[in-house]
Amino acid sequence: MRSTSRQRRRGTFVIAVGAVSALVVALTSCSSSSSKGTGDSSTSASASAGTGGGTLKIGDPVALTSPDPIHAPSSRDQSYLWTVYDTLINFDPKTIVPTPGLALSWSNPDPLSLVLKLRQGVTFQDGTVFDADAVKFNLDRNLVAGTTTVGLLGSIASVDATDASTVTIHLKQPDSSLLLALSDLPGMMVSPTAAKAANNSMATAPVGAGPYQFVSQVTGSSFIVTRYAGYWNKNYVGPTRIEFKALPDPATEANALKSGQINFAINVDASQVDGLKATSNLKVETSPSFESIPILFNLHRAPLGDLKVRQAISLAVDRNALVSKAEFGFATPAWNILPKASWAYPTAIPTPGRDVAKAKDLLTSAGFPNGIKFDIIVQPTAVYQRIATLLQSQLAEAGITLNIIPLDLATNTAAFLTDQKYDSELASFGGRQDPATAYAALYSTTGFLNPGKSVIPGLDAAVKAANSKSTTAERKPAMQDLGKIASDQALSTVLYQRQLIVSYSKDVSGYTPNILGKPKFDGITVK
Amino acid sequence: MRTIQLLGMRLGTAVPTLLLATVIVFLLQRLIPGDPAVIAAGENATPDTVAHIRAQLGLNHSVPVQYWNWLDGLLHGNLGTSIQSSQRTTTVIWSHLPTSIMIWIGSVLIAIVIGIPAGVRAARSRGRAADEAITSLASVGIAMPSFWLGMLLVFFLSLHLGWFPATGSVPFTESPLESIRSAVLPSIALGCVGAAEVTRQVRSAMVEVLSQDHIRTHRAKGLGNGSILWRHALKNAGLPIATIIGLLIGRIISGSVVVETVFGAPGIGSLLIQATNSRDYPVVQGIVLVVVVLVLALNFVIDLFYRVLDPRLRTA
Repeated sequence: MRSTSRQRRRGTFVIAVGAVSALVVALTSCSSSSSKGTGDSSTSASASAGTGGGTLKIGDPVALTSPDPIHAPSSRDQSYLWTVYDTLINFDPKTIVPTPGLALSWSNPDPLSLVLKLRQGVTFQDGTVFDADAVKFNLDRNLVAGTTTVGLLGSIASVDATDASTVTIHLKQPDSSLLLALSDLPGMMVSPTAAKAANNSMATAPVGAGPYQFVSQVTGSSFIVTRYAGYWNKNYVGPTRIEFKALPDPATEANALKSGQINFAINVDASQVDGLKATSNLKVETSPSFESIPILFNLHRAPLGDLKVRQAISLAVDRNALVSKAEFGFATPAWNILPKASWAYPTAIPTPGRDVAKAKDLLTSAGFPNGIKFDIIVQPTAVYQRIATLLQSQLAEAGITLNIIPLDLATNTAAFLTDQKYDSELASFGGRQDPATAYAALYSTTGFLNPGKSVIPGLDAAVKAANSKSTTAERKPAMQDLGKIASDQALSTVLYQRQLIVSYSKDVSGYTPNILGKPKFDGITVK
Repeated sequence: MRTIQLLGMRLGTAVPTLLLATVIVFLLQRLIPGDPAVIAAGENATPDTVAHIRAQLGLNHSVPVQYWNWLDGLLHGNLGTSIQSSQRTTTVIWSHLPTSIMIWIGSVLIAIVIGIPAGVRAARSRGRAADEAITSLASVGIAMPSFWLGMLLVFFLSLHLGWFPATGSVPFTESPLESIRSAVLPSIALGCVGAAEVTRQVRSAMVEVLSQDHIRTHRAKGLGNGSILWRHALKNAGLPIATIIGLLIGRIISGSVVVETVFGAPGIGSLLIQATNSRDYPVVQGIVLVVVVLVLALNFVIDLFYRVLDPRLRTA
């Protein structure tokens, strides 16, 4: 009796072990066919228009905030949204000067009018024809109070659809920065039909006139698009399908790439580069970007209102050490918010190296022979903590005591800019397509990033002068002036510009970086 | 007490518990510095935009009025709109819930499947080498942070052996097998800590039961060891084991916040982090509501399970 029971138990055990083993084999054998793969069933499908193909699976630490361009608070959203929405104006990836987009050409018949001649034969992904009425609908949609883009279009008084392929934008004041603003979120054209049907919201089912149409999204996690067969540019080259995955943790993003779950990682953290380089089937590429790391000052708070103090801080900083120790070398020391690759970079500004003795002299002459102390708010992430700690020790040598206050991004924006509770902020400034807009955002009396709206002598006038000229060549002198004011007044201590680090599978080819640091994916093919 | 009476009693206490939890979270969110309107207004905000968004979100009202508005929406089946994504909060949460549920179920299964046999084995070998080994392993399991175990699992089982995906998740409706595969590593990372706790609790409950008279009687009657352990002793040790599993489920739900981040899994844990970082009040509030409802429902199930294990409770 006992032996029968034991045999039965043994039999049950064998069946259980067998079942578990079969499950494990099934689960793990699936892995050999898919975890190393770089595409799915659509990978081999040919592109529906132009050439290219394959599925590009992108990992990005920053999730898409909103698929509706007028409610997207972050400029990082552009990389996601450029797939679905074409913009009125495009830009050259190497210089960020305006190039034709959905607007083929533009002109200023007078300083207060901008006339756009539109590309014809363009349809939105729902079949709606792209014409002047669609552009007017879109620009009017941006100009409503409460959108995140209205600030970039502040100079627009009204918009007229002159004829089916011509739009006239009437301006309150001359504004040549508007062109590049139309290559940013405000220039992304949504289908008027789709927007009206969805109660003027593109949050759940975005429809644009871009090369890809929306497939699905999980908020804060994934965004999937596939090629739009009716895209106007029949010569467009790009992947057949793009799947974005938000992977906030740097190690998780790197692991996803190594294991083949994604085949293209953008905004890779510098700490992951060695591991990715050591993986045989991956490439790592770096390129300049507009993203600066500055110390932004509240000039209303003593002692930072004193020019000599700000100059002393800049001289006490060892930018090369910060680049090598905080960013592992993947950055370029900087003295201005524009990178040297920008056409508007102020070539005449001084770029002094570290000079602790001179910094001390400046503090003494400013009336602080015993040094100064100021607060800096810092995001509680590893990289910002690294920068802040290094800064603290560097500034201490010049008698400057840095009081580090860790505050998350949501808190520090309001605390520094709105409530003006702190002296300074260690910030990340993503840049703007138009250089005058970048200076205005940081330093003008209406600039969002200027706490207390400090008045900088000559700055607003220089922004106005830069925006009153039409061509890049005409704007250059005013841009030099803006750079000189920012440098002479030491308005912020720019530490460096980050490089954009991307890493991708060797199955991916055709990637072209832009100096904005926000990748576009045209030209890419996945085997 | 009849089951229906128990259900009535539980519902009677669940509603105030739920309300209290939502009030606490609502107030705590307002205590955290940071203005959601400033974040939602974006990098090119103007003061007008911020003011308009603040009014649109109802943030100009007093906190009690804001809470009342939220509660009124809840009673009408509307949890509001996500400040960040402009989508309905229910849609946002619903899209993340399946991933979390897969991980939670996997973790609880692992905790039970490993924890109960290990605890029984340790109790059976009380004081001997097997007991020492299992108890030591359980101590290591309890001390081990789940995110660290998660990283080890990714390194060995995913990057090195390629058995399981390192990150992400696949919807169950799209591919059930792939969905299970993607939940295996996060479930092990979370479930191992739970297994260690269950092991210790089962061992201690079983040691106590095995020393009781009725077990000696069973032995004297010639009942086999297996039958004594699994049919009689384990059933008698069932109440504390059910209690620890009930507590464990709550801990697994909260632990998934970290583990989902390590595995890049789009569950409500990672959503909670994003929503908190961006002060997306409606989403945070919605997640808390869902989790509290789940925990209360699970507690009720555990209560019912007590009655199955101990018939005396049905008549008490």
